[in-house]
Amino acid sequence: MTVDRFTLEIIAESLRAGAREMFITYGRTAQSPIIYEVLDMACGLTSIDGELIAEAEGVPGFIGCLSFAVREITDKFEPSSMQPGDIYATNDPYKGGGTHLSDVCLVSPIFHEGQLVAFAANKAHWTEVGGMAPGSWTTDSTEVYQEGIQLPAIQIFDAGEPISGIIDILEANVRLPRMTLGDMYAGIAALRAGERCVRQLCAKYGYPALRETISTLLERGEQVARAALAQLPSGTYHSEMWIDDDGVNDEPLYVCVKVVVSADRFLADFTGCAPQAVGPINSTHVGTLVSVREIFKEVLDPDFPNNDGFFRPIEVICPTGTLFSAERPAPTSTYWETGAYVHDLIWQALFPVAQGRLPVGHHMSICGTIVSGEDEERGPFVLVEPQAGGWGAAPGKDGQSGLVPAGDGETYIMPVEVCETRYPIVVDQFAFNTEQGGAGRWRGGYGLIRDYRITADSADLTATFGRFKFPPWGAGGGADGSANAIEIFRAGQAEPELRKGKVARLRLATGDVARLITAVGGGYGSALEREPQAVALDVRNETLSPTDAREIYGVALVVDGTVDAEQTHLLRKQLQEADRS
Amino acid sequence: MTMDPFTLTIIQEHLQSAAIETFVRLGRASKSPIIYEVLDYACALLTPQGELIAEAQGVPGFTGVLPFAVQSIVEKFGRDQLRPGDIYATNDPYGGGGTHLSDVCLVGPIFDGDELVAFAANKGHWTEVGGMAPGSWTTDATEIYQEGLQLPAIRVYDQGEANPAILDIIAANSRLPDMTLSDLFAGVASIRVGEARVRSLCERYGQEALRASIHQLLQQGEIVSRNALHELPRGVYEADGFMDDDGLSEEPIPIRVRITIDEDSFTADFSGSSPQVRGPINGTRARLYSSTRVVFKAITAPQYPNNGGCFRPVKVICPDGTIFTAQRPAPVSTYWETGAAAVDLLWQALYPIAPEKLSVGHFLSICGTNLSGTREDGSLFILTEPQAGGWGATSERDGQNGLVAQGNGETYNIPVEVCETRYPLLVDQYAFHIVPQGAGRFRGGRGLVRDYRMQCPTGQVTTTYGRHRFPPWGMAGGSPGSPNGVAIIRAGDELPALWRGKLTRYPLQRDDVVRIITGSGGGYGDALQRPLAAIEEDLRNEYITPEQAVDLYGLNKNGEESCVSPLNSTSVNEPIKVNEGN
Repeated sequence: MTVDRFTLEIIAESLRAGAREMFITYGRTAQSPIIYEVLDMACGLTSIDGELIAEAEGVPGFIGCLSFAVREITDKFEPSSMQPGDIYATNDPYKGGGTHLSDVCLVSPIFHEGQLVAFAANKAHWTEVGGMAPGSWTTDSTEVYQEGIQLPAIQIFDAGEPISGIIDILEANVRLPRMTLGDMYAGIAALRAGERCVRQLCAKYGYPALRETISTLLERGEQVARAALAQLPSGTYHSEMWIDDDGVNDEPLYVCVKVVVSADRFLADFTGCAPQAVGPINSTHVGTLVSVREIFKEVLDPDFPNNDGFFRPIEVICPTGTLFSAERPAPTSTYWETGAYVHDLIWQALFPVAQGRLPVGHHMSICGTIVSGEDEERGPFVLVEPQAGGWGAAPGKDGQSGLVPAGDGETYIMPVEVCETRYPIVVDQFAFNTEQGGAGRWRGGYGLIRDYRITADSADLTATFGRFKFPPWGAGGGADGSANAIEIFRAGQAEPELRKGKVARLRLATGDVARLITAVGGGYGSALEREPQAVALDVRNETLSPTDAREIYGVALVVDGTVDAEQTHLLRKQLQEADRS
Repeated sequence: MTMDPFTLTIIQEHLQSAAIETFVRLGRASKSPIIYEVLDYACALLTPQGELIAEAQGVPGFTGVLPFAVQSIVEKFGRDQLRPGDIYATNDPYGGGGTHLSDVCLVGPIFDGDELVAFAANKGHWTEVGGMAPGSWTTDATEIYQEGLQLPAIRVYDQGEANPAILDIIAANSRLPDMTLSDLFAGVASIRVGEARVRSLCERYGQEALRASIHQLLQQGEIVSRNALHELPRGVYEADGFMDDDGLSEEPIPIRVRITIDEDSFTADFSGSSPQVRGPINGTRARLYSSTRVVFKAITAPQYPNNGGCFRPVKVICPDGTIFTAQRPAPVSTYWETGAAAVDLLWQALYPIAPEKLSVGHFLSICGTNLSGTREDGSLFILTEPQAGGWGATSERDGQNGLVAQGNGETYNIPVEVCETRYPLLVDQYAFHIVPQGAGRFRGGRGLVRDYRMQCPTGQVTTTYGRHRFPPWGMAGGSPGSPNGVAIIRAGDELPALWRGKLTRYPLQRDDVVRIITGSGGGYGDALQRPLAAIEEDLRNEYITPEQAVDLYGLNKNGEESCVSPLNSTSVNEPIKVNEGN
């Protein structure tokens, strides 16, 4: 049987609409702001072999993650013994979960006339899954057993009925059971939406038409990817970097990649990276595959709808037991910092050949922040948020200022008004971080500075700001950006008591200020080639001092702020000569 | 139904031996040394209402909790939802679990036909249930969520079939899944044997006979208790004291009790004790009942086998949210210190009216020790054990040397041979600790000193030794005992780097020595009245030093009684000198 192309398009679009409907259902019904505000989730449909057919994701780090969860389930449970209404869960970081325990995958088989026809699956960051720290992730865990409850590919619903005991266990082991169970039921509602979509399609067009559409879609995905891959210059590309530290020990950790691009293959080889760390920044094999998929998609064809066919040209080599392929019981609760390096390494390696699709290095770290405590008025509170920062310049364009990092995709930061209303916190300032860094023909975007003054009796701050020791990279003669950092000012003190990249449950008292600083992005091209008018504008906008304009950009301004062309010419000549010698 | 006394006795003895059999079965089947060596578990048969019929116990605090475990299962599921072959689990400290998450209660309903006739239940300390620290309990938890996997009254076996998802969750969340699952399976095996024995009784004598026997057994227990209670002087008895601290701050924790004994009841009121604390020493209500039952039993009819009837006169009063009745999410992983403190308070309050049944203060703390590390091959080991120490003197004799604390009942410590075979540790010494404290007309029993030398590259030790700052109490002029504590001696050093009651994941390296010292019990009566013969005997046994004989017992250098007044024997010296600069 052959499906005509119109029907095929209708089925394909319906599947995508189904994935989107799952996504919207999850967002509308979830209890956790990190799901419904931040959209830290992904929903999708897969073939009976666990190949992703259609997906809707909030954070890009979840691109293509669902197939691994489905395969873990089908590996463990015989598909022939599954029934309509069954639901499975996994958050096993070393297997199909792939990230950290907070991200729980739910999977359900979809049946048509007694036959298994597809799977619906989703993954979302449930706010609380227990463990040693409120909010479940922390920067000082040393084993996965400290990071929350583990759901190792288990069946949670049997033919539509919850399996006795499982929901009770979930409820008992989390600090905010209403929220966590709410997220679980929202996830189930999303699965049901996906199931409904596929069953309607089967009822209308029959399973053979669906099956054929699926295989056509996957083939088409592969074709699109291969066509795009052929546009990339074949060759071998390298990059290496240092990760600040693991949160427990202070030593930097080495990571590297070799990317081999050929007409039909995209190989990322991470051999040589540091062994898995004591602290919780480890990522796992599946997490690494997902990060590779993310950058592969961005470089090749960001607009093409996701399916597993698109990822077929990808090959990943990574010995087990490294930072990128950690094994049980390595802690993984801030894995995303390391996943971001997988992404950034390939980004940097491919920057020279990515045909203007990529800017240079950005603040990169999600700068995950938790402020928790108890307030007389509000009771217990937990603020969990990512931070926005400066992006790198691109040939032809300055970097974006105050944008969430690549790993956070289409997510948002918390508005000051919401923060001050819902938490015992006053935001003393929320401003651009215009400190020096990222100078270039095109300069890096500005980071942000946000001051949280605590008004509760006490609060605990946990934060993981990567790129504290190793700032965002510049290229083409552009300068590196500045660093992400946390500074703590005790009440009434003008000087910070500490400046760090990571803190775990640091106790703050009334009046103490936590200053959250995100980096300026990297610059592109020589600063001395920057358009003098652009430098003058930066000075007028008060993001650049007249002194820095002279000393870094070689631009002299007259009193009214306009460019002194003659002086500028001379200055730049001097600076260029100084550079040469 | 009236029963002839012979049949009645046969059934009752059979129930008793069935309980013992469940106990033996569990110990034989478990892979965890803390269960098969230390016997940190208890087994019992209970009525369908959750009253204790017969027990076999390692740990006295456990059997007192099992009725609450059974009741929490019945309340949650409803009696008509229970089926033959079902097994339920709970470790909810605030509910039927009553202690900490490591102690998991398993409950199996026993049916004869369709009729629920009894429950078999057990509670064991599973070696590993996850959480922030290897071995699951720690001294610095601030919330229950850090202390391991919570099993809130769930059905683990459904009509004989294990729920695979629950077994998977237990395995995934434990650092030593093989051991933890074996603890579960051992508990299940124990319930099955209890079930088989009770059912065979029903077959042989009929349900009615069984029910009547149980009824009479409990009634008899009640009568025995009430008769003993009538012997005690009516009145109000009080005690107060302090626990060292909560592990996180240095603040001593005030506790108090007021006991009222009247015609037909025994009421212990703990009102006025400290609110629940931030660290993990909080106790919960079920365990408070259990502590109260322990002391009640000791002063009424300690020889009579325990059953639910014995405790019918006991009442416990305590508001919610105290150190004895903590509420979720208070951490509870070292609750046993508080359970023991409750026992000791009651004990001290009642001592004046039962001196023939009670000794004076003993080292009390279970001195929980959790020594873990990584072997050369990368594998993890965890040694979890209680320590033995010195008991208090009585008005008639010296205290016992080197005996496990009251709260540990019939348990043992891990023999040196087992320890050295199973763990990369050498035991450099295991000896009595001869300190000046505990002197008296009758002397407190001697505590112990044990040196563990690390034989692997890295490790860590967590300890919670109570009575580090407030030593065991003496009576009638006898001196208080000595404190419990741990000293760490770094490889190559002579003197310890530190001397503490509580340590949290303290890092260790090869050849570091962990020196464990338990307290001497309190003394009774004036040391100067101790008979010369007893002092000479002590000298021969090396239970006291010649200096102590002179300084404390007033012997002169020639071994004769002297008129020189001894040193103040109640002064508490640090038994250990510590490296300066630490």
